[in-house]
This record gives sequence, structure tokens and C-alpha cells, in this order.
Amino acid sequence: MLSEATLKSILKLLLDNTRASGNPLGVPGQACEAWRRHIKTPPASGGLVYYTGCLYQLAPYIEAFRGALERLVSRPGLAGLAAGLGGLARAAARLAYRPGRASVDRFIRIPARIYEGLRRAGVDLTLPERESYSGILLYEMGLDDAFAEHASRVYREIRRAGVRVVTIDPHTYYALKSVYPEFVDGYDLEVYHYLEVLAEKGSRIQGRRGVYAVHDSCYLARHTGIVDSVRRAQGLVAGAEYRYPPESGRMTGCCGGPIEVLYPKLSSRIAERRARSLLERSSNVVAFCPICLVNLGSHVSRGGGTLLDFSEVAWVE
Amino acid sequence: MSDPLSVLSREINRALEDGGVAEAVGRYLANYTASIEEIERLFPETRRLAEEVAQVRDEVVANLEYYVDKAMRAVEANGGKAYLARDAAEARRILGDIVGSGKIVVLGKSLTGEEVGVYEHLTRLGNEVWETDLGELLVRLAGQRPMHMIAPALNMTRERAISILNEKLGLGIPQGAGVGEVVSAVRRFLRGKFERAEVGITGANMVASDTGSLILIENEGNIRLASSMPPVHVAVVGVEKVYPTLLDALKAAIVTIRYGGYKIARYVSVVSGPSATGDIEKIVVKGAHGPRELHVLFVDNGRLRAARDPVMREALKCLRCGACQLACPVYELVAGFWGGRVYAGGIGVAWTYITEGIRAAGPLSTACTLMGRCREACPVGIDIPRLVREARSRYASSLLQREPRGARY
Repeated sequence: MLSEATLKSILKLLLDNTRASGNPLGVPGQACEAWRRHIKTPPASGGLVYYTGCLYQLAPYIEAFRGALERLVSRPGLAGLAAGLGGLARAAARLAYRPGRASVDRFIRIPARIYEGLRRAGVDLTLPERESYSGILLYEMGLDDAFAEHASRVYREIRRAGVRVVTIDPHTYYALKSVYPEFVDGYDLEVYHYLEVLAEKGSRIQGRRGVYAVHDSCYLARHTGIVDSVRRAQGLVAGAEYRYPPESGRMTGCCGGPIEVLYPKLSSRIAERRARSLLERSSNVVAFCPICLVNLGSHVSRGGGTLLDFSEVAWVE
Repeated sequence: MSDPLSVLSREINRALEDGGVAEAVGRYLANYTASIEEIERLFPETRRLAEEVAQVRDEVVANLEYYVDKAMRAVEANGGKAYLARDAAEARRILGDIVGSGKIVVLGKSLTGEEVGVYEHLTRLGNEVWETDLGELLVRLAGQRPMHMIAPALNMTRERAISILNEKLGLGIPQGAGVGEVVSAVRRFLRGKFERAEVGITGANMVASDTGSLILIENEGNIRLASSMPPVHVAVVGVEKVYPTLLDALKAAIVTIRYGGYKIARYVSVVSGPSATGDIEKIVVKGAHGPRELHVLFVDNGRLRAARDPVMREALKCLRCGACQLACPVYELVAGFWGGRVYAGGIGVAWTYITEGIRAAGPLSTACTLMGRCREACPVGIDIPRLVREARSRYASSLLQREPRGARY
């Protein structure tokens, strides 16, 4: 049962993990960098800084973490819970709640796919020395002091590589564009989402043919308001057609995140409704955000559909 | 268990299991969405009006004390009495002094009245107190809290309404009766109360600080009766409801009505002072057909402090139209079960923070997805996710600070 004591333990776990591993789930930093193994085209110095923010890479761990936490929170007795959470912290370090290999592999390929796609579109990209997590979950959970400290460190890392930055998931984009400026002194990064860059380049992409129901991201459609760029980028993919549920664009629906950890039932019901509405448009669904992929995924497949990231529609390997 | 987060989580899960809540919200929402589309078609200027009102609200919040003071003086100049209560307890004390005991009191729907505890307090003082708004009456009789800003009983089916009215008031409405019969039975019952009531208590949607006029928006006609039949009319008003001018207030009324999903409200009353006549010898006598006395009780209860809060002040712009609640994916499933004692949904987190503090608002802040459709729906563009996240942040700090060994990052 969720309680203030549970919440406090969870918040402390997120803080401890961030301190120890650089991300709130306690996943070792290598998980953020593993995508670089798949790079085929070498980086170009002086290009846009390609900062992944590690959210795609962490997505399968978020799903596994949620499952582990849900089992713990439903367990009666606070003492057991506290011990369990402690165990979870240690388990995280050993990756005892390691997600399935296929899932990890899929999510690791997404940053690589986008990187290659941008390079192919003629975008010069340079890489920061380290692949750090943006800290956005700390901000969303209200852990402002920890977020400010984390963000300042990440800012300095990115800044060393350059001032013009392209990032790939909506949460990281929102963090860098709208939240960092409030928390980081002297913040001067010029931040783009990869779909903006792609739309600007305007070159056609030989993608995966099909009819796709579109699940817009709330962070792209509303919080950062770049839905026009998203549509233009969608239009570049040859052979892809799109269908929109009534709740689209600025009024897009919710995937159920990020309350899946504290309110799994509520979150799952929200996701289920959204998946149903999307599947009425097409059994192929496209999303733009790792959190949406994680939250909607099982509901879409249970409804007989396939949920893909936009990069998986745009660039078939 | 009194742990507030456990209570909330349990209520949310219960509401999820009770499919009736989502079903009822779904029905309401379908009608609401259709109305909003029609309103956009019929009155395309509404968006522009809303932008103008948003600017007025900014001006009011930036100079709240000035406008409250001005409104109070204007009320007094019209022959009314104006009061400023710092908190709910003081509001109850003032109200108790005005009303006394042993009277029949009729209430019009008012969230501020709910916040202050008007019903409970006046009942405790030995008055016979009646809610006269149908939804509010049902909510009161059922012992639940208001589910939505303008549709408090939005989760109630007709079958449930009939059994509650029969059980609590002995109205003898046959099960299987239509909604029309239910409304008639309540009308017959309450008509007697209106006739004998000595005090009518309403809220007010707006108060114009230049003319001291109260604007009351409604559909049922109960607020007209409650504010005109009894010899004494008391309006309980949150201080943020003030406007620079009557014209500003009327514009805000139009916007509130339309974003609430109504083309028009059946009644918009403008009350500027107690009833009076000067028909004989031009001698003005207070109390002709309407009330002899008008009391306007302005309630602070955290609002003036919030006006100085760099983040939370934005919530004071709220018109209480409820559009944000109907845009919310969480609210869609659990309605006001995600809410405090008075205020529900995301904007309810901010209002609970303002009126009850972080201990009450913090737990509520955890159930928001921050997806932000509420902000798009809001006529005055309140950044509700920002307010909720701020409450969450202050809650997290308070939880972690309560740890004896400093556990902060």
C-alpha cells in the first residue's frame, strides 16, 4: 500500500541511486553508452552535439523497476518494505531486476538509429565525452535540489562538446529547453529535437511502409509546442500514412506515465484507454517517446497491434 | 489508517474498481465536448474574450489587496456590509454573528462556502440549513464531497439520487421515476424552505470593485430565490473574485459560462446592495421585495499569502469553470476522488495548497501525470502542471526534511 513512508523511501532510493550511478534507477553508466557500439558513421567534429539523455536506454529498466517496486509496495508491513527497498537499491547495482535482453537491445538501437538517420540526412554530429542521464525524473518527482546539482554537472559535460545540441526524446528535450535554464546558472545551450532538425533538412526517408495511428507526445505537442515540426518529419517518410485519434496534437492523450510507479492501476487504466483509441485507427501505432513506448506497449500488443518508435518507422535496418 | 497518501491511494483504487465513476464522467464529458464545439462555432470571439479576461486576472492578482479594499468600500457605499475574514475560523465567527441560531437558512452552491464550512457551522449553531442546488443537496445528503466545480454530483445516477432523496427526506419518489419527477419533488420540498427562510447564503462568481456589484451565475433559479426571498442575504466570497470594473466582471462571467460548457446560463444576477424603494416621497427605504440586509463576507484563507507566492499566485486567476478537470485523464477515471475536501483535480491541488497547506495538498500532487491538457483547456491559461509540480516539490522537501538524519541529496 502506498503511504508517505513508502514515498519517502522511494524518493531516497532515487536520490541514492542518482548519487551512486548518475541515474535514479541505479543502472550502471555503461547502459547509457552501449548504443555507441552500433555507430557506423564516425562523428564529425564541430557538428551538433548529439546528446541522448539516456532515456531510451533506461526505458526497459524503468519497466522492470516498476514491476519490482509494485511487488514490494503490495507487500504488507513497512519493515519488509524498507528492507525490500534497500534490497532493490543493491539489486539495481547488480542488475537483479534486469529487463529482458530483447527489450534492452531494442531500446539501445534507437539512439543509434536516430544518429545514423541524421548523419544520412547530412547532419554533422559530435558526441559528448560521457552519456549522462538528464535528471528529468528527479524534476518530475519534485526533487529540485538534486535535480539542480545533477543538471549543472550534465550541462558542463555537454557544454565542453559544444553549444548547439540535438536530443532525441521528448522528456530530455523539454528538460534541456525549458527546465535547465531555470536551474543552471549561465545556461547557454541552443537545443533542438531531432525531428526539428530532420524537418528542417527536408530530405525524403525510405521508411517502413504502412498505416500508422499516431500517439503524439505531450512534451512535444504541448510543453514544447513543436508538433508542426513533428508532422513535417512524419511527412518525409515514404510510404507511411498516418491516422489520428480525436485526442491529437495539442490535445493529445496520455500514456499513463509518469505515475506508473506510484499508481500502477490508475496508470495502466489510462494507458489501456489510450491504446484502445489508437487501435481504432490502425493496428500499427507510432509514438515518439520511450516512456510512451513502455506504458502503451503491453496494451497495444494485447489489443493485437504493434507499437513502434518513430525512428523504427523511419529507418529500417 | 490516517496516512493521507494511503487514504488517497485507496480512494483512487476504489473509484477505479467502481466502474460507475468513469462511466458517469464519460457521459458528462461527451455532452460537454459537444457543447464546447457548438459554443466555438456560435461564439468564435470567446477565445479572444478569454485572453482579455486573463489579462484582467493578472492585474487583479498583482494588486489583490487594493481591489479587495476598493470592493469592500463599494459594497458599503451601496448600503451593504462588507467583512474580511482572515481564515475559515474567522469567517465562521462572522457568519455566526450575522445569522445567529434557530433560523431556517437556505444555501446556494458555493465552493468558498464549502471551504469555510458554512453548512456544518450554522447547523452546529442550531439553525436548519438547506442546500438548494440539486447537485449540492444530493452530495450533502449522500455525505460525499463535491466532485466537480460546477457539477458537484456528476458521478451520481438517477437511481442513486432517488434512493438518497427517499431515504433522507422521505420524498417517496417511485424508483423508475424520470429525472423530471425527481426535480419536481425536490422543488416542492424546498419551496417551503425558501418561503420560511430568514437568511439566504450564496457565493458570488465575481465582485466588481467599482460598483460593488456581485455577479451570480446559475441555471436552477435557486440562487435567485436564496438571494432575494429571505430578508437577509449573505454572500461568502473568496477575495480573488474581485474585478476592476463591472464590465470586466461581466466579460469574465461570459467566459466562465462558456468554458463551463453552457451557451448561456439561465440566470446571471447582478446584485448591488440590499433591496430598496424610493417610490413614496422619494424616501429610500431598505428592504422592499428583496432582502433588507446584504452582507458580503470576503474570505482570505490563504489567498492573500498566495498572491505573494511566485508560483502559486497563478492559481488565483482561476474562474472555477471546471474545464481543466474535464481535460484530465486522471479525473476522467476517478473524478473528485482525486481531490481534497473541497477542490478536485490538478487545479484542486493548488487550491488545496492555498486554503489548507502542504500537508493536505502534497499527497494529492503525486497523482498527476503532468501531461498538461488542463493548461490548454483553461480559459485564462493557468499552467496547472507547473503548480502541481511545485506542490510536489514542496511536499518532497517536507517529507525528506522530517527525516531526523538529514537525508537530503
